[in-house]
Amino acid sequence: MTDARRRAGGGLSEAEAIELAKQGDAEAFEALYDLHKRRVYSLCLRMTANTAEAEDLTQEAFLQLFRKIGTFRGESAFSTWLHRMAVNVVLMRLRKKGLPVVPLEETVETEEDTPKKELGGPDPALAGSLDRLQLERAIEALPPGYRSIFVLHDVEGFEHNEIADMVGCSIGNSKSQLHKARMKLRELLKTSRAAKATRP
Amino acid sequence: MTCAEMEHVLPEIMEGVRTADQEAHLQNCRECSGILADLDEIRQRARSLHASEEPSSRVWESISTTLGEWRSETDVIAEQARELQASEEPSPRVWDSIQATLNEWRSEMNEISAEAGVLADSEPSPRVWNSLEIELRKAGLIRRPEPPVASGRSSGWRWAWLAPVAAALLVVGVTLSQRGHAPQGPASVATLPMASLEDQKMLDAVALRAPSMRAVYENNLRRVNAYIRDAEQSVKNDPTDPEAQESLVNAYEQKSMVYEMALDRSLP
Repeated sequence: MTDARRRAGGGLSEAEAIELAKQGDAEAFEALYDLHKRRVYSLCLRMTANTAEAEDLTQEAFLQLFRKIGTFRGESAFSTWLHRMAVNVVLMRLRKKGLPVVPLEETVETEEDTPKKELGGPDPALAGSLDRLQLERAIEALPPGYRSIFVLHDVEGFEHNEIADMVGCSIGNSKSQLHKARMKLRELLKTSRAAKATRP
Repeated sequence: MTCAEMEHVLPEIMEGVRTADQEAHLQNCRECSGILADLDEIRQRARSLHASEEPSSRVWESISTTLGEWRSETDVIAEQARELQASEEPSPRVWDSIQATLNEWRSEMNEISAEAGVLADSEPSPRVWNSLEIELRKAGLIRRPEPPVASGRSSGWRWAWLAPVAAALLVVGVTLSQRGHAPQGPASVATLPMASLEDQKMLDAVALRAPSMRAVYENNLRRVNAYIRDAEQSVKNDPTDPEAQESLVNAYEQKSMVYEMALDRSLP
């Protein structure tokens, strides 16, 4: 058992907290919240790009955890199980709001969606100069469908087959949309940098 | 390889798969290699966003409040369930039904027990026993039998003797009266109860055929009549007592056997 999996001060391991939480132990549930709140909240925030909504979704994800923890059988890591549940909560909310969880077009690229290469112009590399804040803002500016795929793969580390299963698309589409999302991000970052450079 | 062709294979190259042609193009094309470097930078930096944000304390407060409300609701429901459980009483029909079922079971158990008793009972038929009893009494080896202690089990085959008993009594009576036998014998026969007029006729019939057996049958009849009287008194005292009823039936069975044996020996 790693220290990270021990509750600060309480000495309760994650496995112990899970078993106690299954029996309705409020303190054990709070310990699980403390262990996983950052990842769940970050996921919600990146996916929605909205603080209030992210907090609301975080609450909803943990309440659903409270309701369903009795069904956790340990067939996968608890964190994997929980974060998959959190992703589903977010995707459900996006669908309810009518926002695409995956880009609507499968193969046809529109003029607006296709990032263009700036041939011939100055093209300073992002490498070495990209900071976290810039990236966060660029991700927030991504269309919702691109943002979901990018966050799930590049931020949260899900595999394409898992993403395809969760959002309901093919693995090939997941790969294709991820590439487009990265290209769109690059474009946004460069645009942002150019605007900053021209600012007096 | 052109830049347009390279753009199509960038996703695979990002995953580390590249051919010699692609590698050569990247070496010579600053634009394509720049794009690849930028995409790789974005991917690398994206990982730093993982679990990077802390929710405000409002989130847990809200979760905690909701859990508290759920717990209260659950407690209320549990309390109501307990009250319902304690307040509901089944209708009398339920107990009646249980009792009826128990009675059926009891009856079936008695039948099974009786059948098992018959199977396990190794005693010979009543006829055999009566023959033996009579002979043993004749030899003075046994005394008057005590009234049998009812076993408490029903014995359906014993009831079947009621008809032969009645028939035997009737046949003896009719036969003797038709033959016009007059009562003869020792004075002891006169001490038999009035209800035993038929007994007297039977003894007369025995005396005609086998005079030496008359006294034996007379004694047997006296005893069995006493046995019948005792059993009748018991039934009179408690008509619902199954043991008394069974004793009475047994007494009549004994008497029927005496008649049967007497007729076998005395009638042509």
